[in-house]
Amino acid sequence: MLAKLALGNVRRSARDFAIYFVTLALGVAVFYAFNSIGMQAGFLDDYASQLVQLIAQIVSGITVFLAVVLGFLMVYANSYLIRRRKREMGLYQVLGMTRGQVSLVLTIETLLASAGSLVVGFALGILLSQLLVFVTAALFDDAVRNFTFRVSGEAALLTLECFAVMFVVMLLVNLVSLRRVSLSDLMGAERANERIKVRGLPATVVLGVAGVALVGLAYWRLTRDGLPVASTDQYQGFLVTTAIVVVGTVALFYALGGVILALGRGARGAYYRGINMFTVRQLASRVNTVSLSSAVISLILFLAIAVSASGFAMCAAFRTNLDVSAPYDASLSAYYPDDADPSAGERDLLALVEERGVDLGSVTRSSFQVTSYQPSSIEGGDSLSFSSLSQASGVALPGYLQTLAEQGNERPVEVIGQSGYDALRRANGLPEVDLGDDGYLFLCTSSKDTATFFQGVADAGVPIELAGMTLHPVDVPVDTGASATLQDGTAGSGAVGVIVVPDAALAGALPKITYLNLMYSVPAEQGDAVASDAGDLAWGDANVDADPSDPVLYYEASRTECRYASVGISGTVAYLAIYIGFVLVVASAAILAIQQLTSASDAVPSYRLLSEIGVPRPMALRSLRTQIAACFAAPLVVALAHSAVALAQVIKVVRAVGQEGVGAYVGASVAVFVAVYVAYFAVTYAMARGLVCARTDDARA
Amino acid sequence: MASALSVHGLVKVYGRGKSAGTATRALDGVSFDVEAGEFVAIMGPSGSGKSTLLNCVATIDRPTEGSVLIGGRDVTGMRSRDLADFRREQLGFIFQDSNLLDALTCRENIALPLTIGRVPARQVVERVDAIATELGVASVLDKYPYQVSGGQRQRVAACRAMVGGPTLVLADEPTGALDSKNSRTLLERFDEMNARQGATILMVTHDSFAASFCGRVLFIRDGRIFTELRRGDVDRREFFERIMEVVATIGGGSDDAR
Ligand SMILES: Nc1ncnc2c1ncn2[C@@H]1O[C@H](COP(=O)(O)OP(=O)(O)OP(=O)(O)O)[C@@H](O)[C@H]1O
Ligand SMILES: [Mg+2]
Repeated sequence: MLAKLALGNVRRSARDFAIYFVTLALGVAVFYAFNSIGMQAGFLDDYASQLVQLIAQIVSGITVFLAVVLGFLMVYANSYLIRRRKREMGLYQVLGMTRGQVSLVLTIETLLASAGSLVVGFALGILLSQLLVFVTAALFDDAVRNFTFRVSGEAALLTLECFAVMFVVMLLVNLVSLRRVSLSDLMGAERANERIKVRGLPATVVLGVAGVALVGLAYWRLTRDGLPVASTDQYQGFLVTTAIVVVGTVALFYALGGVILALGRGARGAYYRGINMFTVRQLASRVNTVSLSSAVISLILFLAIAVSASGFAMCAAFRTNLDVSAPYDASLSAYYPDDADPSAGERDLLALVEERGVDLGSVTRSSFQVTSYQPSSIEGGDSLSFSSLSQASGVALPGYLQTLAEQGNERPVEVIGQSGYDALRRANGLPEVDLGDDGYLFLCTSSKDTATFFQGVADAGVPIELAGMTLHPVDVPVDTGASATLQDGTAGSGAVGVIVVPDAALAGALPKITYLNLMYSVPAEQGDAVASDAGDLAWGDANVDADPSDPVLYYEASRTECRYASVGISGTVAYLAIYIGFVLVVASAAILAIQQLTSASDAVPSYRLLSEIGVPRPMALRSLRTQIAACFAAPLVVALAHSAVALAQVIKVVRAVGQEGVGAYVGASVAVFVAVYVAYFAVTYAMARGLVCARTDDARA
Repeated sequence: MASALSVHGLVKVYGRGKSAGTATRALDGVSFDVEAGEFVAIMGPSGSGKSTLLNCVATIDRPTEGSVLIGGRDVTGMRSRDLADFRREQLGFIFQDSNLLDALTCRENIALPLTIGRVPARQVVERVDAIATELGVASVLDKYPYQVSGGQRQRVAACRAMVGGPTLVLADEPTGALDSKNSRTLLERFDEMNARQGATILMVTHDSFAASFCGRVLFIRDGRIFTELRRGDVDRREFFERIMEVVATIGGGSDDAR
């Protein structure tokens, strides 16, 4: 009997349940799809597959956080439902049902609706995860292999568990809220909702001014301090800025309703035209009743935009840097023991490797090698360091070098000769740079800040004393391009900085490292196999058994490997950014949608009345649209303003790491989010419109 | 005098579908005229079709058959677009539960029909003040509907119905939710508006006391006009007695006399 009542209820208030249903189904779908990434690994090749599996682990960690977000959303959607039906619940009790029975009806209803949406959600999620396979593949620069339609039991189980927990929580919330309110409250629920709350003018002015001032202060602080990437001291300031922006945003939203009303009524001519006064009043009271949640939504949106846009920016940074960080098909390097004979000079690594049984020459179209020298083996080279350059020029060291110097851990300066640099320039198809008899030049690919430091030193004209010569900086900008890369690596993995000096200054110096760079004559796969054999020499007995005065092979990298490593990082970052951002945007848009539909359905009697006193349908719908649009737009506009300020700093940081042109990526990701959000608005309006039209068409009973 | 309202052979059938047995003939050929400046009550037992009749006249519901002429124009065939304009310009409504917009102050509620009709803001304010004074609610204009009493709400609703100077004011049980004192105040105002400004009012009521304020009472039963009573020159008390007699013969449909 009670079950029948519950089923009847679900069917009858299908419209109210629809919102709950859609939210829940969407939550399940997204949750399942992203957690099924472990399964997607099966479609990718080994390397990408490993990465994806790694991400799967990270995702399941983050999933807990997102489960909480989605759980909140469910509870919210559910309490909306309960609120709408409090009166009905009161009526059951008046008719003599016990609280226990009413609770049971409620439980059965929730169970029915939840079970239904779980099924639909799973179906959607399974479809979505099949699509995601391709997105994942694209993110990891891989093609989908042997695609078949698959379902991940693990993800399904995890989803089921999470939602079971949430369901129980929701049920408890329902029962508690039902128990807490008295019968007269239940019966009066409808009345209470209609009370209009708008803050008075003085409060509005104070809140508004405080809001604008605080947000402005936060913007100013962030722009001045930047993101806390350089040191931990900055972190505290950053927290303060964050707190200020949160408080400011909340104040802004608390003031918004009053501001709308004051502005609306200020324009008297427009206010008393059509149903503008209805629109303004309705909007003001709407905005006012949801001011806290609008502020929270605005901040969540901000978080979503910031996280995903910075994710994309980082992704772009890691990725496009490959042109600079891995310009050769493969690289091999070897260092010279401290007791090596300086007179033996630079050794031919190609020959060395061949001696040990690997014929790199057979896969090589062209190759060249560059050798760096121990500064300490050169007269005057002992005192050559980053901090001495900083002192001599008066240019401050970049943050991390400064920290290392303070810890007595200063990174060594690498020195190469003119001939080595010529080879680098030629290999990259660039004209040679003549240093003359006493010139020097900096190469730097590690970061933009470091490059700026070197440029500062060069601009100061700091002379370097080496091998009895006094060298002066040549009038050429610091080389930060591919020709400054001594060997393949991932972004920022190369030497901190390299000084190019005339070959004469290195006569008789002890070689430190020889870098061998290859361009294949064969397809990459074939070349990589041989290069990796050469790399294995570094690990096998070959190094140990070799002549102790021979250089020691220690590093091998191919461009393919670098690409995987870099794509791995960028893919991971992008994946997480999309996941988190998407869930946050969906969650906040869903909350907004629920709020708007609630107030639209609360306002149905008003629309019916308007229609009865002769307001044309288009005019009433325009008012509805304006209200919903404004409620959607307000959090978005504030979030975008916050994001613009924050992302400017993100872009700055990414640039410092050496990447230009991330603005486009940031812009694109913001655009995608805005599109999702606008779609939600459109759906909400369509639903609200349906609601209003359907119920204004009924004649008055 | 010209007819403000002219109803001919009005039929309304609800639930006319496949199963003919479930159809309800709520109105079964109703015809009557209301002259401009008349104050007419419609009475009848519960379920007799009073609200249905009023809704058809109000253009909120479409009759199955018959015609409704308001100010000489047939409204039954009007397109819904024109209907909105027509309602706004020609009709005023007062319902049992007053139906004011909770988001707006009383002043703004009253102003609504004018602002929709694009009356200049200055004139709007003047006309609202004038009608509010007339109906004795000038002091509550800046309050919200939930801040004023039920009687005041009903009078504010009456202001809104009359502010645009409609051809016809329609009221469905306007005193239904009021106590006798408030009922009396509202009805006296109606009477004044009718007498002084010549407002034409058609009011549905259960209440013989309310009906006794009118110049004429139409009784309907089972969807037909059963009889009508004209007040003529008799005073309100006596008219009330005569109404009670008719009510007794129809049976039901009336609260006790107050
Ligand atoms: N929307 C509808 N669908 C079906 N039947 C209806 C509908 N509205 C009214 N009726 C029926 O039409 C008849 C007349 O109803 P109406 O509401 O006009 O009565 P009334 O005279 O206003 O009664 P009361 O005094 O109780 O308000 C009733 O039998 C009612 O059941
Ligand atoms: Mg009725």
